[in-house]
Amino acid sequence: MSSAAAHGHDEPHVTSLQVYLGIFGALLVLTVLTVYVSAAELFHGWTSIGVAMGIAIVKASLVATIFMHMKWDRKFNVIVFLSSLWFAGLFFTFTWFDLSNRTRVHDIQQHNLPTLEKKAEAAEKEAAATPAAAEPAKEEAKAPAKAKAAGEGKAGKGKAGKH
Amino acid sequence: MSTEHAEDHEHPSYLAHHFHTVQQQVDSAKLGMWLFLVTEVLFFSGLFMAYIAVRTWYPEMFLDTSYQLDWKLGAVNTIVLLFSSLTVALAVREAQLADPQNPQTGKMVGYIALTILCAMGFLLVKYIEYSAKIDHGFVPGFLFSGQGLLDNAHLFFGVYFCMTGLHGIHVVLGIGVLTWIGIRASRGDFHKRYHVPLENAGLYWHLVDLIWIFLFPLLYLVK
Repeated sequence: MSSAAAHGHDEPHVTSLQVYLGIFGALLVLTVLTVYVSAAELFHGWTSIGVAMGIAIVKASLVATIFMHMKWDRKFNVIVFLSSLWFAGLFFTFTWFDLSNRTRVHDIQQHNLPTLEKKAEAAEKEAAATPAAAEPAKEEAKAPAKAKAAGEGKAGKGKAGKH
Repeated sequence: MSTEHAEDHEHPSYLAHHFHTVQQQVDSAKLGMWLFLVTEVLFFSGLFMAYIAVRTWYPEMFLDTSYQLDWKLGAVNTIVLLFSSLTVALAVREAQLADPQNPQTGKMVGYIALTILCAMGFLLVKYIEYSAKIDHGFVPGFLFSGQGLLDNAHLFFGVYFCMTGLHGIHVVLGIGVLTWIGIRASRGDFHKRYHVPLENAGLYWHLVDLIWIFLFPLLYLVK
C-alpha cells in the first residue's frame, strides 16, 4: 500500500528527445529571424519593437509550454504563472498613464497652457480683423506652442538633468 | 540507498513527514516554485518599466547608444542560454526515466554539468562585454565618462547594467543551485518517482532563459 501511495496518481509525462531537439531548433531559427529583421532594418521605432516582441513572445511560449512542461502541468499552476503577466500588465498600464501625462500636467501648471492657447486664439482673431497688427500677434501665438513642444521631451537632451 | 526507513512506519525516504503522499509533496513544491517565478517576473517588471520610460522619453538617445552594444556577443549568449535550457530539460527527462531502485545518474549529471558550463560561458561573454563598456567609461549615473555619445547616454547604460546585472546575478545563483542539484543527482536522489527538486531548479533556469529572450532584442537590436 505504501508503494501505491508513493506512486501518486499520475506518472510524469516524458517528452521525446525529438520534440526537445525540434523545439531547440525552432528557438534557434527564431533567434536568427529576430537578428535578421533587425540587421536588415526592415522596421523602425514602435513597429520594430512590436515585431521583436512578437518573436520573443513566440520563443518564450515554446520554452514555457515544452521545456517548462506547462502543457502537462496542472492547470492551476499555469493560471498562477500567467497571473504574473496580468499583474505586470496592470503595473505597466497605470505607470504608463503617469508617464504619458506628467509632462502635460507640468505644462499646465508651469505655463498655464489653456489660458495661453485661448489668448493665442484671441490674438489670431484680432490679427485677422486688423492686418496691420498681424506680426506681433503671431509671435505671441508661437510662444505657447514652443513651450508645449519642449514639454513633450521627445528631443530630450536637455532633460537629462531634470529626471 | 534504501527507500524505506524502519521506525514504526513505512514510507519512502524522500517523503517528508508532513505530507500524506509523494504526489501531495510534489504538487506543493511545484505550486511554490510557480509562485516564486511569479515574484521573479514582477521583480524584473520594475526594470522593464524603467526601460519603457527611458526609451519613450529619449528614443533618439536610446537608438544611438544601443549601437555601443555588440549584437554578435548578445546573439552568442542567447544561443548559449537556449542550449542550456535544452540540457536542463534533458536532465529532467533522464530523471523521469530513471529506475527508483537503481537510478542511472551518468547522463543526468552530465546534462546538469553541461548546463553549468553554459552558465559559466554566458558569464564569460558578459564579463568581456562589461569590461569593454567600463573601459570606455560607459557606466551608469555620475560615474559616466564616455565620449562621443549624446548627453544623456548614461541613462541607457543605467538601464542596460541594471537589467543585465540582475539577470547576471540570477545566472550566478543558478550555477549554485544547479551545482547542489548536480551533487544530489549524483547521489541517486532523483528518479522516476521523485525528482521535483531537479524539476524546480530546471524551472528556475528556464525563467532565466525567458528573461534573456526579452532582454536580447530590447537592448541589442534597437532600430
